[in-house]
Amino acid sequence: MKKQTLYKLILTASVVVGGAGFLFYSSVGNAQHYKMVDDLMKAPSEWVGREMKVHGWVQPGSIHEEIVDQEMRRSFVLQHSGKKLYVTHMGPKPDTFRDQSEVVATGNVVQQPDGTYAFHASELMAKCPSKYEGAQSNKKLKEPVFQ
Amino acid sequence: MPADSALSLNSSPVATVGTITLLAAYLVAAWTVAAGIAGNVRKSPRLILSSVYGLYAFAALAALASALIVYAFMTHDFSIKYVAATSDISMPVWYKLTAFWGGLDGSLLFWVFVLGVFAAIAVRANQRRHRDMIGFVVATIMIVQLFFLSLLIFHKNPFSTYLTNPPVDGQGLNPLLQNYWMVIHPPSLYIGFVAATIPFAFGIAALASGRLDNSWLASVRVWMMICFFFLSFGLILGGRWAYEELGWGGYWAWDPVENAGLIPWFTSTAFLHSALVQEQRGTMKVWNLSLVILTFFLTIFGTFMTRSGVVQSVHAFGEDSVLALQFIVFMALILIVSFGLVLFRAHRLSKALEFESFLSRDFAFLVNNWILLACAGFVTFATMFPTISEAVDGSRVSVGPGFFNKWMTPIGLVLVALGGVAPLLAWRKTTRERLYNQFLFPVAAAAVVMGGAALWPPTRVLTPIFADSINLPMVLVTLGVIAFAVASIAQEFWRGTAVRRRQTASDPLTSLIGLVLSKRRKYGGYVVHLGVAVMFLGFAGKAYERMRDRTIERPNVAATDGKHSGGSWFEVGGYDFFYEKLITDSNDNRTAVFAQVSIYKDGELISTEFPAKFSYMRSEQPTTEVAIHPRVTEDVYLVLTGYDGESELANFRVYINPLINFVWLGFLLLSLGTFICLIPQRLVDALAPRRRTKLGRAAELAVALLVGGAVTLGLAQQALADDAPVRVAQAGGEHATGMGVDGTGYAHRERPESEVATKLMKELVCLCGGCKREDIYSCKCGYAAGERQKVNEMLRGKDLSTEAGRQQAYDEVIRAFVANYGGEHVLNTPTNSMSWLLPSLAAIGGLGLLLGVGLRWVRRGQATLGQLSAAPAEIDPEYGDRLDDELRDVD
Repeated sequence: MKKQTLYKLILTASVVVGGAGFLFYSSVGNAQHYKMVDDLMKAPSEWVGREMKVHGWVQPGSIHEEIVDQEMRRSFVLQHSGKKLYVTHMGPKPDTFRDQSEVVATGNVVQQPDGTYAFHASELMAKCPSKYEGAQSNKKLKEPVFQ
Repeated sequence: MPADSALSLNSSPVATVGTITLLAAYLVAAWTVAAGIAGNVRKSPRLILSSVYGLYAFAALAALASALIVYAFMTHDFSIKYVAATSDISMPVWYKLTAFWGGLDGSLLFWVFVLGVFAAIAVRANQRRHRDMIGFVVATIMIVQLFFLSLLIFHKNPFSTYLTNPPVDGQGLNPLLQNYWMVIHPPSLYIGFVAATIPFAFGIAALASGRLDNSWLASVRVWMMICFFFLSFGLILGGRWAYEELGWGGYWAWDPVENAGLIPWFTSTAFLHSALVQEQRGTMKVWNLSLVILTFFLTIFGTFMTRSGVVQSVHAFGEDSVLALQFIVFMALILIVSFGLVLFRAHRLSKALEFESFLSRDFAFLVNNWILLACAGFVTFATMFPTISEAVDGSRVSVGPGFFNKWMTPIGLVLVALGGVAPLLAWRKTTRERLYNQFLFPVAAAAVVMGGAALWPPTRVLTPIFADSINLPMVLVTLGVIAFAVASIAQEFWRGTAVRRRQTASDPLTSLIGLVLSKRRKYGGYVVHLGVAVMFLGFAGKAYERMRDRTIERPNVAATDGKHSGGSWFEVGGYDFFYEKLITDSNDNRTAVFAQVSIYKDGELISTEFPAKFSYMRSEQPTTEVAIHPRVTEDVYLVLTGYDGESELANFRVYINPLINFVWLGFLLLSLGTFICLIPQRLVDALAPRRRTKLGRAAELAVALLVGGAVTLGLAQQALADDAPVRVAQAGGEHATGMGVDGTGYAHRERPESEVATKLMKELVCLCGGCKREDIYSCKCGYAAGERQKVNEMLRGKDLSTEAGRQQAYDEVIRAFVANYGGEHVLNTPTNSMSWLLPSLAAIGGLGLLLGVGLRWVRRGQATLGQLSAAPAEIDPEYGDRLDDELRDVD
């Protein structure tokens, strides 16, 4: 192999490897984790300050809404497998958001002054099994039995 | 055998006939594949012909099956499961048609139908030209058809019926899909996807038959352009649909389904550029074939992503592991066979890619290709990221739109900048003077725009790119890049028109039209670049988007302070909104709740809008009907996010979207550019008849664009267009000689009037573009006759009695011609060998074509050629050279 060809190969390879490495590095920083409530509540402190998605079911009777200065403030409890997470949210709720609905909340875990953990959601997505044709995947997670 | 298999006979006659049609199509397809391959291998014209007819028959059967399913929709045949699942009695006719491709089964049948039609057109157009590979083309297309058809027959038969009593009414189409954009958005994307099959088939056929010259490239390019256009069209329609229907204020969210259409868009765009390099330099054959294969593969991959449920998406079709497996096997087959063939032929394909200079258009094209491929790679990676991460460590991790934007914004800007840089560079090498001359204006324009914009503080906001630690004022950079690209393209049009004006002595409008029509691919391409730059202006506006959520407890409550605040008033982004009332309206299909909201700007009412929520009878989830008040600079976008019917409380979300209309405007330009590229030569010829008025010419252009817009027609004609440039060029001489249109007897017109004239005519080359550099003495075309007339006229009155006089007259004519054509390529024996080297044969053909077509436009009662030759146009030699250089890529 000619020396020049070798240089070209090394240069190309280093650009590709460097680019891919940088891509992975930057993707780690931007990765948004997806956790079930019980998964998250095992070690909530690990997730403080990182944007993520939390999946669970709305505890019946936990939804509380109030309007402050033309803004709707909402809080509710999201639960799964016996673990609970207090969620606060501002803005529109999904049309199918109600007691017992299956919700994926996007936002951050914060530690409350009393040491407990809460979730500040920027967006709520209520899963609706019949919304799309053949969306069987949504049914895989069995809805828990509420006590 | 699965219960919903095609072979389970059913009660509905439509379903029975439909299933039988699919089975018949399967048999025909199988035969066609065998006949096509055998025909080409054994060089049997009868087998090849049989395969071609088989392909037509298949298209007819696919059309019949599609017609049957549409008929079933129209007649509410709910015994067919698919019809019952995606339509109902109350649905309007248009949406019943939409329902055809609204579900998985129907969309696969629609795919087969579109590919059938495209294949028939492509094969019909190329049957004679590529006789020695058409069998392979047919076989490749039909293997793809076999795959989709087998999915239809064995797994997803749209004609399968209920074994028990059918339902009285259907379940209805997903309400989100009941939107006029949805009538055209999915078929457009499918058409883009399907169109990628044709280039793939030609590529594979070229590899299989060993015909590896550039001849397949022309057929492939047209289809790739169609693929490019429909992908673009489908993507933008999808964006518009999301903007109007989904109510999140945006048009693009890097959703896997959107990305599935974008990834092949990158590779098809890359091909459209690198194909030019192959035409120009004869290199990059392996690369181009790989791009064709990759584009096709990515369309199948995109279908796989959206149909198999491998990635989570709000509008994926759902999980289906059987389908996923079938797709994986097919994709593996595509890769193994295609790249196997490339390796098999590699020794005949590879030609070292050599660059004379980094400052050349060749290199710019290569960089463009790398970047587009990197884009495709990045979007694939980021789209598959959740799947990859789940496979690696079991945790579900996704990357949001922010991550895509961090990478794609800077990369996209580099592409826009390249779209401005490449036209300024010459093929092979750009001299220093030319560099200065070309870049001065665009760089100055970018500097002025950036300088001006920087005075406004919001443009200096830093945005992270690539990673959070790298921050740049991206809006400012975007504006600069757009200014540069637009200025560069404007300069190209300006200079091209100026040169053409001098050559044809016509008015600017005629020159511009003539310029664009004579070099449609080049200037059409520039218009596409312009469109992309304009779209980026719209993307930049996203940085200034404002969004507010407001909850208003009761409508029609006056402001507390007598101004526009409090009560039912709210303010967002300089607009005042007043919630007036809640209106309920019901019909058979849905119940709609509208909020009546008046919008004020500076105290004046500018609009009353009705954002709404629709609840469909057959869907438990209501849809959000957005109200958009478009203004020139921004959209006021109002969403009713929730309401309480009793208390009339309403939740609103308001977006102010600056510059968003540039996104749609940019797309219109992109379409216009693509249409220009696709205008067939014969259409340009047909437009040549005299028009004396500007109105007439404008009408011509309008017709050209309209007809060019009828893409399906255009593609058929383009694929058929052969050596038409020669005809134009030759016809171009008519005016010069004042002869009839029939073009007979040119060879006998304007014969030399003296010995000097004979000598000159043997020295001067006919630049009509079709004569292969014959001299004008022996060339039989009308253009040569015109040139002979020039020579005779110039010699008249000259003293030809002495040797010195004859020599002087000879030199004068030569000088005049060299000056007129801007180079010695007009001579048989150029004095300066370097000047001869630069413009290649093709360049001369191109210049001749330019002049030839130009001459036709000159006929509009403008200056005669005689006057032209009497006062030779002074073409900027530098620009003339560059034109020569570029004219090589004339169609």
